[in-house]
This record gives sequence, structure tokens and C-alpha cells, in this order.
Amino acid sequence: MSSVTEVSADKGKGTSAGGPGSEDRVPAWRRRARPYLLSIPALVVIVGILFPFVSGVYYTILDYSAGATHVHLVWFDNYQTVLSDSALWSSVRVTVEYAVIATAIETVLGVGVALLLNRSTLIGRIFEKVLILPLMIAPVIAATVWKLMFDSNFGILNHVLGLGHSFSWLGKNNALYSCILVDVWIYTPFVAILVLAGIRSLPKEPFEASDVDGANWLYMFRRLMLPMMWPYILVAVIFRLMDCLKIFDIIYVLTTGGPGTVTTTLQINAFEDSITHFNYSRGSTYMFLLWIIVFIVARFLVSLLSKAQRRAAGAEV
Amino acid sequence: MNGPTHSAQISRRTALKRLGIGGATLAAAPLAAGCVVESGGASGGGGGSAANDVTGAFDWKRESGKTLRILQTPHPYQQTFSPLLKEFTRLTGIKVKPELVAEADYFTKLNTELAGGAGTHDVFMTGAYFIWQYGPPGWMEDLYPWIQNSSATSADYDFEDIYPGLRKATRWDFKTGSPLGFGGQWAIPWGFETNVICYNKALFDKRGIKPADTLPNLVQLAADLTDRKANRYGIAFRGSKSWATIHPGFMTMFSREGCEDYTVRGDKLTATMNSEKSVAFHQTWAELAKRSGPASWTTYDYPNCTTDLGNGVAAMVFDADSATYPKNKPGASREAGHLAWHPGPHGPGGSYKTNLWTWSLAMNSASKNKLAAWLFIQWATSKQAMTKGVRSGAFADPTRASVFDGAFKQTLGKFPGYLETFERVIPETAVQFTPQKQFFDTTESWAVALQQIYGGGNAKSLLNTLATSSTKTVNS
Amino acid sequence: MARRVLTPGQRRVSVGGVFADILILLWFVFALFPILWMFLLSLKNDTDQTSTYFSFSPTARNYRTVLTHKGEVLTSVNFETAIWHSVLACAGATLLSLLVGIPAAYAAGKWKFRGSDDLMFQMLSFRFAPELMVIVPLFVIFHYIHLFDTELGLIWVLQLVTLPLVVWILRSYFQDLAPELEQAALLDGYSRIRAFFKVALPLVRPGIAASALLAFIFAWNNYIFPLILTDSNATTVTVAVTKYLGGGGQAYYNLTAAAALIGVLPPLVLALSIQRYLVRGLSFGAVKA
Repeated sequence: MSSVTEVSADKGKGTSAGGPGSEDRVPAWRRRARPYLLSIPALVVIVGILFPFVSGVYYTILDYSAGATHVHLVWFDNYQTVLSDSALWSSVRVTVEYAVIATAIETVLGVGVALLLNRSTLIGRIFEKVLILPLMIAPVIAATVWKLMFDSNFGILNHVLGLGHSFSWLGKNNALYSCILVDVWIYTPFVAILVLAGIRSLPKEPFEASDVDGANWLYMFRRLMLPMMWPYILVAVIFRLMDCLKIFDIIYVLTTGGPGTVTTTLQINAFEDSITHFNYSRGSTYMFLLWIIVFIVARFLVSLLSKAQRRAAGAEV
Repeated sequence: MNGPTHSAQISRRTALKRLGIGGATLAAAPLAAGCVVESGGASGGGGGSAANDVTGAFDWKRESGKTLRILQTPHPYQQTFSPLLKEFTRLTGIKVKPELVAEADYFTKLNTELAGGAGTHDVFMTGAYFIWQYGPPGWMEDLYPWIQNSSATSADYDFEDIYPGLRKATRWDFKTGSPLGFGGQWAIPWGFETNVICYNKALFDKRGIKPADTLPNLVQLAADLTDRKANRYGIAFRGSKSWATIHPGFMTMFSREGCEDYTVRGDKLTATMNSEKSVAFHQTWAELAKRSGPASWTTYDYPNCTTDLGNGVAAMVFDADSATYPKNKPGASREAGHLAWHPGPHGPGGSYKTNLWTWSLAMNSASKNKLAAWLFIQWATSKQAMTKGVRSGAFADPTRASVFDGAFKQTLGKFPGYLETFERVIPETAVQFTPQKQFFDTTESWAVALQQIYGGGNAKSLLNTLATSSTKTVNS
Repeated sequence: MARRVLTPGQRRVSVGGVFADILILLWFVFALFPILWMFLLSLKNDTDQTSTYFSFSPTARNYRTVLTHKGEVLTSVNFETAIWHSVLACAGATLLSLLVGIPAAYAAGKWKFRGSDDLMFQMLSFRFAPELMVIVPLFVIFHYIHLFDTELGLIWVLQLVTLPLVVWILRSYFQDLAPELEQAALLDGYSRIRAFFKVALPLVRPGIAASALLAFIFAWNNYIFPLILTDSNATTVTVAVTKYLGGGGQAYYNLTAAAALIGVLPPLVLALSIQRYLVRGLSFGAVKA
């Protein structure tokens, strides 16, 4: 078997590339090179972005900061400072809490909304057209609008919900959850759209068969639909979790990381260090560590994804 | 004085070679790291300044045909000057392309721009504290040689007309422990603000009360004025997680109460926010915010404060006079015409120490149009332009004594107490912070500590931690 | 009429159905309320914006100010130019991503080749590089190669946002594609390339529509790249909208809301016009089984 194998959606395992017909005339080396050749344009486009990334990493071993007239090579001093700083661990905790809660809520709600819309009732068809609206308002703007709604004096939420003028949405105990609420508002439609598109591309026959068998809805959902939808859900989870781990704009607009350090995530910390305090090297170190964390999490999720895809392919047979 | 001392510095190229990373990186990293750093040491004491290349008679038209790019944030000063830019072009033949960036992102953009050393914008708006951070790496042009050169500066410019406290606030020699007022002139003060109390006079008159003269009285007064059910509270001041929470009302009262941020011994600073007096003051301030401040205090920036004042929700605001001033202009807010000013409580010894902020104009040291940039700064801070600005817009407060005493005073008829307040505090108005290069780092930590005290944390231990880490940071 | 095929979740009228309708209604109250609120805000004058809830005298002045940039405030914000810049940059970025992303997604979805997983993961990893880490070096490089404040520069840097999205979404579509369909085309004497264009590409159209739409929207909403890497020659809607937040004691929330709502229109038009392709997903599923 050659190192290039064709993925078959039906069997879930590779079959040898190059079927009969015109393919017979194509030499093997060209067949092998084909996937690489097809990937080259995409690689060329992003390789440029690699440049600044590498020099960003280079900054982490320098002491480039405010008030510095000269820059020195300090090797791992920044890492030592950052890793022994309690601020790092507090922001790691906040980041993980934010990312896990937000992603979990968005996934559950997103799948729920997608399932409800898939019923294609009149209400569903009307709302489907506007499902995407919250996603179209830039997070910076959306967070600004929400901040106005959260205001304790003239905010509409306290008024409509009858909370009076002393309830503080962005106070010490509520701030993180209010930020998550805004994240949920913006990004649940993202999950819903991906999942809805996924549901609609599922084959009909297994469902028809079990419908005839009189299987109940929950059984069908768990045994048939969920395994097949799982890859689509996972793609949404991967994108959401990664974006949440580097969350910045929503929190920056709403609380800038306060009160105290209650909503200070890794990226907020990194921003303050590298831009506001202009300790660029330390800020870059924060961001590089963040990148490593996201990298590991993403690797894990992607391996889950490929397992789920194999399983889903199996479920369709 | 900040020319490179090569011995202490590893060349970036060598550093890279030692790293042994691939060719692609070698091409990119020096680009990125290199030009960032090498913009340093552009100007020092005057020798080598581009100002010395300007000779001959002064002529506004000398740079005719050039185009200047200026970076600004939307602000009454900028808005006042926006229609006047045509006049500058008529006077000099220089075209001006202003670039506006929202205040929340202004310093993000400016920092990146200056750190990149690209010289895209020739002139930018800045505050005094930013000099402490932008100056040492050589990002700003020393304007002193430009002022001194009669070929570059009009004979009627009269730099000394600008209030001495402001001229001092924009000079520093970048030596830790050294006071302001020495070294380069890094920016020219354009507009400035003193931090005082603005109150709803109509409300005060109705109740037959007067502003408070001591801090305990202020605490009592603010509590009396607070009625959460009626959506009214006593006093608004900033509380967001930012260095900007510390510098206005807080730093003013902190200084009047006799507290200091640092004590200086030689070139070493010792943080003293944990002194007994200071701990007590922090507690009072946090309590004032909790009992008589806005419920979302920890997100409050000055627009929130002045909005509440303008809507009649806040009875008082302790912030910049220039921020409350526009709210009293007819039609600008619900309470327009009802507002008045007061210096705020004096300290136990009668001190009216007041912290100042000045929006100033500075020149990018990487600018390729330095003479044109200087002509612009000179024009914008000149008596004529400032007078026009004061007459046509909301330009409070002008930095020139002659403009303040002339045109500005005439506009103050409907602003009760504004002038008296100004005259009461101006002799003691100065930057009350000890200048130091890690200002934003340490001052933001300060705001975090204040928020934590507000949230119920132990003031003594929080301030001890703050003082220890601040001392370490500023002396590093 | 033939009985409609129901996938789980599709029910005939029942108690559960009514309950589901109520749930969906609740979600959309939550989802649409802030937008309704923005709309109200955009109709308020300066003194009403922070002091009224529902009763105020509406004005269209904010929309006029934003579109004509007349009026005394913020005269230097040129909003309709910013819309044009955004449309160009985001359409350009999305097209470029499709152009280079479809072959890569096809390759990764169709074949399992040495390094294919790593390659895909690399694509994805660009999405989670924190923007702030690359922004200063990027700014410097942009100056050196004269891409600062240009559409081209923006299109390039937005690939960080759009390309991973396009490649990853499309890969799962290509994976689901039954290879027999293309095999059949090959047997009919089609070349590989023609088989791709005639068979594979039309079948993944819903995927292309979905990923292009999402890529376009994410590019449209990106803030930090245009903020730092452009000035007025290429500034985008999102950056222009925040300029109305102003400073100096006066924040024009009403103008911000009006500008933001105008700024939503181009992606909204795009979304509505390609929505029918999203719905086509149904037939795609039928073909595959």
C-alpha cells in the first residue's frame, strides 16, 4: 500500500488511491505528490505569518521593556519571572474557568438551538434567517452594548428584570459570569450554524428505518444522530475552546480584567504587560505560554475529533 | 545622555546567530527586534538634534507642500482644533492628515507605532506620564533645541507664557529618583486639567447645603446625598482597573492628606503606599465609593462619572475640571446650567495639592518631517490658535496664562466657582507622582489593590504586598 | 403528497412541539433583545441616550451624522469609505482563503498521506497564535514591505482568521464525500481535475457557503489587526465604529449604535443571499447515502 491512501467515508479505512479509468495512466510518484502539491498554496500564504511569530518568540528571551535604552539577551529569565509569578497562576485559573464554562454552555445551547430549528416549523423557519445576527456584531461593539445594558444606573437589564439600582453585573461576584453571558450571546449561533449544517447533511435512511421500527426520539438521538453529529460538534468545540482560551476583547471592554484580578485572563495579562506597561518581553512570554497551552489542548481535541470521525463513519453503515 | 553604550549591549545579530535559528528567522527577527531598538538615542541634550540644521530667518512657509500625519484621540481639544486645521494649512502650506483612534485603544496604537519605530505619524497627543515610558527608549524628540532655535521658532511664540507647573511636568532626565523639570522638553502642554469637585448646585441650593471642606465632611455629605431607591448617589469618581483610576481625584486627595507614593533616597525609590496614613486613606476612599458611589464603581471611567452628573444621578464628581466643564454647556446634558465647581476638601494642614493631567503634543523621533511637525506643534500651542480654540469650542483649560486670563475667563460667566476653584488650586497643582519608568505597571497594580480593598480585602496586607512589589519593580 | 422524511427533532404537532416552540422563542428573545436595544439607542439624541429606557422622541439624526459625517462631532470619521474598505478586504480575504484552502482541504479530506494530520494541525494552530504576540513584529514588517495601511496587507493578515476556518470546515465535508461518485466520473473518462469540478465541488457547496460566510463575518469583526495595521487609507468598519465611543467626557453611544447597525448590513446581505445554499445541505445528505 502506498503512503497515500484514499479515505473512504463509507468504510472509514483507506483504500488504495488511483482507481480504474484515466487514473491508470498517472504515474505513482505523481499520485503520491498530489496531496502535497494541493497543500502548497495554503502553506505559502501562511508561511509569511510564521515570520512575526518566530520573532515574537525571540522577544521572550530578551529584556525589551519600557524605560530600557538597551536590550539584552536574558535567556530564560522572563520564563522564570513569569512562572514564579502568582499572577500567572491566577490568570490561568480564570482563563480555564472562562473557557470551559463558556464552551460548555455554548455547545449545549448551540446543539439545542440547531435541533429545535431543524424541526422546520414556521417559527423555526423565520428565526433561522436571523440566527446569525449576534455573530455579525463585532465583539468589541457587542461588549460595549452589553456594558451599557449592564449599567447599574441606566442599564436596561436592571430596569426590565426589576433589580433596582444597586445590583452590579460587573461586580466582584458576577463579573466573570457576565462576561461569559456575553460570550454565549455572541457565539452560540456559531455553534448552532455548524451543527445545523451538519444535521442537514446526515443521510436519511437510518432515521427512516428506525422511524418505521417505532424507535423513540431519545433513542434515535443517542444511538444514531449524536454519533454522526459528533464530528461537527467537535469542530465547533475546537474553535470555541481555542478562541475562549485566548479571550481578550469582550473582557477588555467589559471589565479590563477587574474588579481586582477576578476576570484577568492570560491574554489580558499579556496585553497589559506588553502594551500598557510596555514590558514587551514579559508580555510575549505570557503569550507564548498561552500558545503552548492552547496547542496542547487543541492537539488533544483534534485527536478526539479524528476518533469521532472514524466512529461516525462506522455508525452510518 | 542616552546615546548607546555598546559594551552593555549584545548585538542583535550576534544574539540571533548564537540562537542558531534558520535563515527565515534571521531575516525576520532583526527586522522586528532590530529597528525597534535602534530608534533609541535619537536625541539627547541638544547636540545632534535635527533642530540645528534649521538656519536662516523664521518662515512659516518654509515646509510648504509637505504632508503631516498626526495621531489623535477624540477629545474636546481635538474636536476644537479639527475645524482650525485649514488655517494651519493656509498659514504654512502644509497639509495635515489627522488620524483618530478611540481613547480606549489610543495608547495601544501609539505604543505599537512608537515601538515599531516607523515614523508613520509625525505628531501625537500624549500625557505627561507617558513621557516616562516613551522617552527613555528614544521614541520622542526633545523639543528644547527646537524652541531655542530662532530660525525654527517664531519670535512671538513665548514659551514662558505656558504655566511653569506644566512646562516642568513635561521635562525629565529619565534618572530614577530625579525630579521633574530637568532634562529634555519632551512635549508641549496643549490643554490641561486640575482634579477638583464639580457638583449639582441646583440640588445643593434646594437642600441648602454647601460643598464639604474636609474629607470626613465629604464622606458624610456624600452619604446624605445618596438615595439608591431614587437612583441618586453622592459622589462619582473613577474606579476601573486602570492606572487612570489613581491619578485624578484619588491622587489629589491622597496628596492633600499628606500621603506619598514613594520616598527617594539617592537613585533608589521606596514605595510608601503602605504607610499608616495611606492605609487609613485607602479605607476611607473605598468606603466612600461603596457607600456613596456608583454601584458599578469598578468599571467607572470618567465618561461614566460625568454622564451620571449630567443626568442628575450623581450629586458630585471628583475628577478633571475639563471633563465636567462640557456638561454645563447649554443642551449638553440634563443638568446643564446647574453645575458648579469647588476645590474639594483641603488636607489636615490646609493643603490644596492637586494632581494634574496635561494633554500635550509630542514629536515622533522617527518622523521624517521634523521641521513641519515642529511648525504644527508650535502653531497649535501658540497664543493665536489657542485663543481661537477657546472662543469656538470646549477647550478647558488652556495651558497659556495669557489665554486663560484673556479669552478663557470671558467664557466662564455661566460656570460658577470654576475660576475661583482654579485660582485656589493652581499654585499647588503639579504632577504628584514620583516620576519613574514603570509608572503604568505599578500604578495599575495600585488600582487593582484599591479594587480589592473595595471588594472587602484587608487594606493593610494588600498595600504591604503592593509596596513590596512596587519597590522591587521601580528599582529593577 | 408523499410523507415527509423526518430526522430526529422533526415532530408533528404535539405537546412536545409546543414546548419546543416556546424554547426557541425564549432563545430568540434573548438573542434579539440586545439588537433591538441597539436600534432604540441609535434613535436617541445625546441627552436621552443614557437617561431613558423606552420613552423618548426618536430621531434619525444619528444615521444622518454617520452617513454624511456632517454635524459638529468627529468630522474626520469617514464611515462609508470604511465600509468600502471592509467589503474589499473581507471579500478579498475570503476569496483568497477559498482559492488556496479548497485544494488543501480536498487533499486532507480525501487522502491520508504522510504528515497530513500535522499539516492540518499547523493550519489550525495559526488560528490560536495570540494576535498581540505577532502584532508588533507584524507592524514593523508591514512597514518594510510597504503593506502598512493597504488593502493587500489586510487581506494577507486576515488569512490568519479566515484560512483555518475554511480548511477545517471543508475538510470534514470532503471526508464525507463518497469516493465512488468521483470514481464513476473517472470511469466515464473525466480527468481528475474535471471530476473534481463536476462532481466533488458541487456536492460540497453548502460547506463552501457556510465556511465562506463564517470566514467573511470573522474577518469583518476582526479588530486588532486593522486597528494597528491600517490608518485611514484602509481602515475598516469595526475600527471606524469604535471611534464614535470617543473620549473627553462625551461618548456617543447613539452614534456608535447607528454606525454598528449600518455596519452589519453588508454581511447580513451576504448571509441572506447565500442562505439557500446552506439549506441545500439536505440534498447533499441524500446524495451521499
